[in-house]
Amino acid sequence: MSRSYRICVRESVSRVIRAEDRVSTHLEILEVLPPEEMAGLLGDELERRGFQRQGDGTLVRRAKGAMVTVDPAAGTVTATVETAEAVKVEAAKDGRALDLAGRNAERVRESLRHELRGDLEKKVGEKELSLQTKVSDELEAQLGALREELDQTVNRVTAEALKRKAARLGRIKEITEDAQAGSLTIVVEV
Amino acid sequence: MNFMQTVTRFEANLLRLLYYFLGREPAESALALVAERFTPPTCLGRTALRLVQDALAKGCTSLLARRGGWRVERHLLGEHVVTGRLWQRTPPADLTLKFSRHSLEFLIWITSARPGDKEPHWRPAEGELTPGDLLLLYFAHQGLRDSAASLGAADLRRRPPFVRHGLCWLAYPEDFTAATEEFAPDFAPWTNGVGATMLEALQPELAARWIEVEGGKGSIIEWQRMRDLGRSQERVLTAFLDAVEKAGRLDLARFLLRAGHQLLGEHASAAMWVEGMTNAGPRVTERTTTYRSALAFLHQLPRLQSWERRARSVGYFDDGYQAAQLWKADWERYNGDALNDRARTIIRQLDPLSPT
Repeated sequence: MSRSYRICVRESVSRVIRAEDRVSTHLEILEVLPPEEMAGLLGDELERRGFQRQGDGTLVRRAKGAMVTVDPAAGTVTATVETAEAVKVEAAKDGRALDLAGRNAERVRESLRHELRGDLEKKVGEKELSLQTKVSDELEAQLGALREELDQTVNRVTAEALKRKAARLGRIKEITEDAQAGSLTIVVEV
Repeated sequence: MNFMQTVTRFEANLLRLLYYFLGREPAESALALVAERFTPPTCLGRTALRLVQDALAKGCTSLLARRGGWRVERHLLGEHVVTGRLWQRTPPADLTLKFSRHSLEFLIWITSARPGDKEPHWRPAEGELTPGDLLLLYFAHQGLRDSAASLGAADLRRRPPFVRHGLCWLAYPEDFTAATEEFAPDFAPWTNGVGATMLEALQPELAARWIEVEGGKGSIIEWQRMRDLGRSQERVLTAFLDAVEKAGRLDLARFLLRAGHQLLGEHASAAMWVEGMTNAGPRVTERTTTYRSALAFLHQLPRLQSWERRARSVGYFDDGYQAAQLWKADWERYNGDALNDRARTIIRQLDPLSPT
């Protein structure tokens, strides 16, 4: 009578998984002044809002896990969220062999290990997908506030540009600004 | 005197299918014929031909009248705005529907083959179809939508002339999600001449269809399906609006305002379009594309508003003054500015970075 032996194989994988998501948009800025001046005004306003000027002329701000990059010359805005997470996944599998330490047992162990590696890769893949969804959700949740801030920025830049333009046309006698209604009235004496 | 008219079995089946397309035969019996493949005769008898002619002449005009031609509406006739029912607005000579041999060939083909069959071959030469033929194909498209999927009506829609049939696309954008970029909907026949009068008559039907399609988006679960539908809607609306603009027939786009008026009530919210989807895509870019697809109809409203803004600047002595006034009146009648504002709010809710 032959008997079989229970073979148990345990494997684990440790890995650092990364997820990143980004979205871009274009600022619609009226060309009240020449493009370089408008870009300068935009840069100044963004600095006032906590952005930092980089060597390549872009402005960057990191907040709430997101990085917002603005190219004032091109008017492009890119919001990026990225994260990394160390994960460890483990799995075990049982099989049966005719011997405990012989050739058959080794073959069974190898086959179980092969299956386990596939399972572990699948689990890592699921974790990556879950992290990706989390990152995208985070980014999506911030877009509403970002839009609002960008609108305010563009309005401020346009208002400032109009004031400068008016000052070049003549002597500004009166400026009335209604932030609520988003209107700006400039009386100029030419 | 014997009034009994005798036709062969094939001719009887052909006539029953034609009557079904024209809404005179119940679907139950006619759709069973769609599944059959009857051997066609070498030619049709005189009686059958007369009956086909009679059915086309009376059936098509009757359907157009019932589906909206009877309504007292204002449309353009040349440079002028005319008011009345379809037959009061347009001289009878301009309402004449002509059917070519292609109509009869289509009827023979659909009786002898299943919609998905590629053989026997039916592919009329492009440009040879008359407005009457195209109208029959539109009614046939409506009838064949209800046939079993296994009969291949979807395959038929992927082939010319259906895949380029502007009116079929416009009324049923959800049927053309699989149409390749190689085939664009053709609106040239529908924005001029008798084709335009048909589109005038079908305005209520088109508005109802868009309300139905937009209303159904809330129950779409898969984001891929939403994107396919949105892409199809965007393609057809862009082609259609380009065509009406080119032809100076903005009034033919009135059904979009009607649909918008129904869909964008005071309490309209983004959820009406996307509440069925649990996931709009894995990444934000994909989600944004999905939302844009979901709101494909709403994204067209700024274009309609730009027509109104342009119409304001058309002076009394300028060309197109009456057409401009008509579009302005339509825009005001359906409260276009409010619709556009609501559409923009909804777009902003779902797609904050959209350049609206």
